[in-house]
Order: sequence, then C-alpha cells, then structure tokens
Amino acid sequence: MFNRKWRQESANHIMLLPGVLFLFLFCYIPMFGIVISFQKYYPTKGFLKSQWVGLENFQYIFELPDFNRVLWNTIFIATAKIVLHLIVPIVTALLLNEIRSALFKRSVQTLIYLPYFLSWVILAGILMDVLSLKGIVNQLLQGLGLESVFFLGDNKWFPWTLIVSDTWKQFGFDTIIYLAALTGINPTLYEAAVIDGASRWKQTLHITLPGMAPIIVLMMTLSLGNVLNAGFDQVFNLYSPPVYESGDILDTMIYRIGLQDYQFSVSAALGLFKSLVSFVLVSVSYGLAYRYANYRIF
Amino acid sequence: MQGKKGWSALLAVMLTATVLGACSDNGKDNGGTSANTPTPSATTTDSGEASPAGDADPFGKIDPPVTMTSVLATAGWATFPDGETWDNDNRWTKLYRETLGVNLKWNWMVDSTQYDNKMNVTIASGDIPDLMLVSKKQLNQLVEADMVEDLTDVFDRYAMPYLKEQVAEALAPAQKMATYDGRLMAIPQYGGDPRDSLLTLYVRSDWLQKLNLPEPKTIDELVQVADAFVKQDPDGNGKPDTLGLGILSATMGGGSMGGFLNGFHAYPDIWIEDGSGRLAYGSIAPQMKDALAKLQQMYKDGLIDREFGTKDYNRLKEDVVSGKLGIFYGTISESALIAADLIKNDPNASWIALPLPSIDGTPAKPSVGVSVGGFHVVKKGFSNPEAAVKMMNLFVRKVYGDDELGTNGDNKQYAWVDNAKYAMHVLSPIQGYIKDYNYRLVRDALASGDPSALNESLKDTYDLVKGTDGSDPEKWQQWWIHQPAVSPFEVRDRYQLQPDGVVIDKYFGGSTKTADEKMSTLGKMQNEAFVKIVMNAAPIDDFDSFVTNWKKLGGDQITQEVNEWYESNK
Repeated sequence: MFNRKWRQESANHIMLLPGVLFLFLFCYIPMFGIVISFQKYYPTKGFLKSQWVGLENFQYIFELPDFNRVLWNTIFIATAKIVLHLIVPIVTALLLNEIRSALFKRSVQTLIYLPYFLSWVILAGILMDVLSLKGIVNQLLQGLGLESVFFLGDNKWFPWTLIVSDTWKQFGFDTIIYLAALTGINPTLYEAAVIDGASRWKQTLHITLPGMAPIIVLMMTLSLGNVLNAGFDQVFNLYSPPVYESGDILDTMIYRIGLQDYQFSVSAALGLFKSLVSFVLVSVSYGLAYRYANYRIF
Repeated sequence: MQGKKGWSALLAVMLTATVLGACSDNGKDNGGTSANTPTPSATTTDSGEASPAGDADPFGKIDPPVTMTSVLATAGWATFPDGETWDNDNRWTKLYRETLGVNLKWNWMVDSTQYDNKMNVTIASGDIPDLMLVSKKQLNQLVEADMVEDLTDVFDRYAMPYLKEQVAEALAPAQKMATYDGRLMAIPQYGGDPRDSLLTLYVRSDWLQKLNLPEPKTIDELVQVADAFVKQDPDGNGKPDTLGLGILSATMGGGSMGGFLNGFHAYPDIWIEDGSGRLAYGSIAPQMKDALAKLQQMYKDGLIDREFGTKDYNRLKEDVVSGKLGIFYGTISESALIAADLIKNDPNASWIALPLPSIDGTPAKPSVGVSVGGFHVVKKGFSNPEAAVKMMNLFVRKVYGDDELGTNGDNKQYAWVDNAKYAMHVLSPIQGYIKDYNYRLVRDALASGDPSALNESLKDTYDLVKGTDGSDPEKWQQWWIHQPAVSPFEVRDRYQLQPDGVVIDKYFGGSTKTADEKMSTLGKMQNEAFVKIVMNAAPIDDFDSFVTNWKKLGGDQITQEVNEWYESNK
C-alpha cells in the first residue's frame, strides 16, 4: 500500500476527505430515514417506536382515487419538459454559434439566462397577469381576430402553459452548457469539411452534433432521473381548482395530504417511490449510452 | 455501477432497514390516530401536585417562585418598543415574575414558520419544556403518550370568573377541543367566539344610488344588482369593465362563496344536525345543489368573473380596490382589509354591509366553523400546573380586563401599544383571543353621547369616531364600522343576538382516523366539483355523482366516526 502511487496521490485523497465526510454524514447516514416510509411515523415516537407497516403507505398512495390521473399528469408534463429542454437549448446554441458579433452573442446569452434566477412565486404572479383573460397575450390574440384562451383555467391549455413557461425559464442555463460544448469542437474539422465542399447544414449534421453528443447524452441521462419531478414550485403557484384535473402532480397531491396532518410516512414513501423510479431510469439510460454510444463516467 | 460492489452495498442497506423495522414496536398500539379516544392516565395524580393548599386566588403569587421553561414562535410582523425584544426581560416576563412568582426561561425561539417543525422535533426527543403551545395533532400525541398534566382541577379552582363565563358560552367549543374523556388536558389558545367570523354582504352603496337600485335582501334582488353592476357602467367610465358578484373558489372565509350558499340554507364544510339526532356534512346537502345551480346560471349570464376559479383573495382584493368589483361576501375583517383600501383609492365611494340575502321567505343564517390555533400544555410532573392558569388569568386581565367593561385592563401597555404601533400581546407565552372588540358599548356611547362607561382604549376609539365624519380615508374604517345603518359589526351583532342565529359546526373532535387519510382528497374533490359546476364546465347533475363519490371514498366512514364522537360528547 505504501507504494509510490499512494504517496503521489495521498495529498489528493486528503483534500477529498472533508467533502467525502460531509457527503457521508449528510447524504448517506440520513438514508436510514427511509425506514419512515415503512412505518406509521409519529414524531413523538421516533424511528424505533413507530409502528412498522411494511408497504401499507405505498398501497395507500397507489389507491388514492386520483392516483392514476395524477401519475399521468406528472409523467406527461415531465416528459414534455425533458424533450423541450433538450431541443430548445440545442437549437438556440447552434443558432447563437453562428452569430459573428461577440457583443450581440453575449447580450443574448445574458438575457436568456436571466429568467432562470426568478423564483416561481414571482413568475407566477407575473404570468397570472400576463396570461389572464384580459391580459396582454389575450389582447394580442383578440387583436388578431382569435378567441381569447383561458391559459390558466382550461384543462386543455394548462399543461402546455406549464411546459412552455418552464422551458422559457430554464433554457438559458442549458444553452450556455451546449455553447461551451460547441467551443470544444476542433475547428480544423470544420476547415476540412469546407474543403470537402460541405454546406453549413451538412457541417452541423456531421461535425457539430456528433461533437456535442457526449454532453447531450449526459444532459439527457441526468434529466431522465427527473421524469417524476414535474416541478412542484411551478405547479403549486400556478394551479387552481379548475385545472386540478390536468395540473395536479404527485408532489402537489402529497403536499396537500402531508399538510392535512403530518403524514411524514406517506411523503417519505412517495419520495422513495420517485427515487426508485429515477434510479431505474438513470441506470437504464446510462447502460444504453455505455453500450451504444461508448459513453462512460467511471 | 461498479457491478458486484454496488449490489452488495444496496443489499446491506436494505437488510439493515428490515432489521430496524423488525425491532420497532409492532404491538396493537395503533399510533394514536383516533383523536377522540386516548385515555389520559393523569386523572389520579394531579391532586397530589404541590399546589398551594386552599389558595384559590386566580392571581395569587406562587411562593417560593418557580421557574418554568417554555418556547416561543416569533412572528416576523410584530415590533416592540425600545429595549424589549422576544428574548430579553420584557414586560410579560417581568409581570409574570413579579405578580405570579413565575420565572420564565426560554428553551428556544424560532420564527413562526419553523415553529411546527421544531415542535415536532422537540416532542420526538422527549425533552419538552414545562409550558408550550402545540397543535391539536401534537396534543393528541402528547395525551396518548401521557406527557402532559391534567388541568381540569386547577382550571376549576384557579380560573378567573370572567374567563370561566366566556368558557361556558362562546369559548365552549374551544374548551371541548382540549378535553379528553372529560378531562381538560390543555388550555386552548382561545380564538374568540366562533360566530365572530360570520360573513355579511358588502355592496358599493354609491353604485346602488347611481343606478337607482334597492339594497338587495333576496337572492333575486342580488342577481338584479349584479346584473346592473355588469351592464350599466356604475363606475361611469364608458367601458364594460365592471364585474358582477365577486366570489372565490373557496367555500368558507372572507371573499368566498360561502355567504351565497348560506342564502340557500346550505352550510358547506361543517357538520350539522340532520334532524334525526345525527350529524351530517353540510357540503353534500341537497340545498347545495340549488345554490350551485344558481351560481352556474349567473356565471353563464356573465354576472360572475369568468376567471374567478383561478383567482385568490389578493386578486379579488385588487379587483375591488381598482374599482371593478362592487359586491362580495366578507367578515368584519374585510372592512379593514379590502373596503378601507378602496376608500383610500377612491374617497368618493361608499360601502354598506347587509345581512345575507335569502332564496326564500326564511332568513338566511351564516355558518361558521370552529378552530383553535393551539393548545397550551404543561409538562407532566411540573410542580405548579396552576401557574399556567394564573398566567392566562393575568393575560386576560391585562389585555381584556376583568369583565365586559375592561376593568383593570391595561391593553395600552400589554396589547396594542402606542396607538397600535407595537403588538405586545404576542410576546406572552400564554395568549388567547377572548372577546372581540366591544362594538355594542361604543355604539351605545356614541348614540347617547355618554362615554362614561368606556375604559381607556374604548374611549380613544369613541373620541376618534366622534372627531371625524368619514371623509378622511385614514380614519374611514373606524368611522364606518360605527355607523349602525351600514356597519358589518351591526349586522353581526344582530345575528349574534338571535338565539341560534348562526349555524356553528357541531363537531369539535379534531380530525378522525379516516379524515386523516381521506379528508384532503375529499376536500379537493369538492373544490373541483363545485368550481367546475359554477364555471359551467360540468353539468349541475355532476353534483349528485360528487355526493355519491364523496360517500364512497371515505365520506360515509368519516360521518360514522364523527357521529361516534357526537354520541359520547353531546
């Protein structure tokens, strides 16, 4: 053990030690709390004395009358968000990449990045005004001769309102990541392609996209873990009784139940369920990326 | 995933979890989910406590002085005069120490938003302070775990007469909520008379005058007024921007549709007698269907804001203050929260508060729920449990006085200090809202011109009202609520003077076992169904399927449990 390699790397390991300790103490040890999801947990009794009920909490969740609808809402909204969160930033990054003027490029980057920092509480307030029946968007629609749309109160439109507004808020962040990936592509490849007579479109298809592939796969793998996270903050601030049907997601449902009366066990059970699903999806997608795209993390 | 290593680690965690599970208490103990049957075993021990023998003085000093640990939720909005803060020797701690011999020590203080969580953690640790404020759920758990003192006897012996009076009538439901099997296990943080939060109809009287409309007394007249408000441009700006009846998707509370539903003798969200001695849930009564049908018709006719379903209280308020909405249901609080702000914006406007319009010849009765903000408990084994009762006595004396007239009261020092600039009453570890503002006394004094019966703070109000004619927007609210012809306080007073004039929730056992699991789902179902029907997104007959589903998905079960409580607590 005391060979040369160890001596060379010992400094690195010691520097890592505080971080690892922190991770262990605050992320791994608390995992014992998972037992709450198998108990009927009461704070006055604590971990060891609360009654063990096995899978009862999970059963309770799955048997809730709206569970199917809520699960469907969650998956639909989350998947649409994942897809759009991939397409829109990539396209924007590609377009921005074509811009010559550095000043313009950087100003656009900053502008699209800004909404990311707004909290949903504030954005919801703004959106409720902008999207109301008498708001700007509807005034525009009426000006164009179209009927006004009840974006926040119509079950047909509400999920799309959620998806589009969330994409608008987040895409700046991802665009920057993709732009960074773009700058990592060897310029000589482009030069070679131009010599071979490739059009800009062909260049994009055969050089840019494959060059970005590792980053795209990484982002996709990570975001797949979020498929049951349709965005509590956003939905909670924007939903209301007329759109419970299409807007209620797992987290808002459990929030209401948890709020009624300290249903720690149920919330923990739902959290565990979501984590398990994420875990499976991330593993599967990583496995596929490993097999077919030769993509590795370890 | 590092192949075998990862899997064995996962397996290890799962095995450990299983072992922990097997170790936990697997017995018949059901986790205390039933709110109404835990049996406190404190009944035989409280008389053995070291209370001063034979001393029944509600304000008697405890000698030698005793130290009492407690905890506090600090409210961000409250400010205090110089030198006094949440944690130093402020006037309450001085008062309790000097008058009662109770030395208060704070174990911790957190912001009110964190209080609940911190309390849960404290209870879980088993290390609770001598005195603390807990929620009903927490109280259930503490009683079940036998961690708190039985206060029945000390309350009987030491509570001051005025408090006992109030507890016998207006505060009775609150007291019942703290009672388990006939024993009082906590002193409630009283929330005043439940009837105080009844709804009345607020209407822009200047619009009524402008359009030559009578004050609406029936539902039909209400519909006519709403129609006129929408179509006849009451704000005179030539634009069709005014709305009709203002309602929220909520069925109870200021701004909600509750007042309208009461007009059809439907009482949402509370338990009422069904005529056969049993309790039934007001939201599924057949009269509710008629009320919703009427609202649906009004929505179709454009007499209700198309977006009401997505709007919350703040948006309703905005509509009123911007001069678009002139008719809604509110409690007396809305006089300050909504009506006054409109006047600040538009000093030429005027309001009138009216009793609830009814659908038929029978006058409508407003309905109210019963809720208690918290319960003060004393740790089991504390040497002087009567300290809690005495502190409540002293609090009531200082903030409300010894009687209706406020004798011995000192709320200038202990409640709203310096013209309501500072809120001292929230510094006390034991607090409660005993009685609402004594409107009647002041009204009568204003009418007769004789303020001799008024105590200091009421006299101040008297002077303020006498000194203004309502044209000053800053003083408008105080002035307006004292004009009996238009005041919501007058409307409320008349309802309260009638025996049975207000429909009060008859169930105060907290939450039942099934309610714990199903109530929020049922509540959401109800909300959704009602709003969709009114918005004409669902036919009125959906109400019947709502009722069937409500019963099937837990409602019947809950009704059963509520009635079990009712039988043994009548």
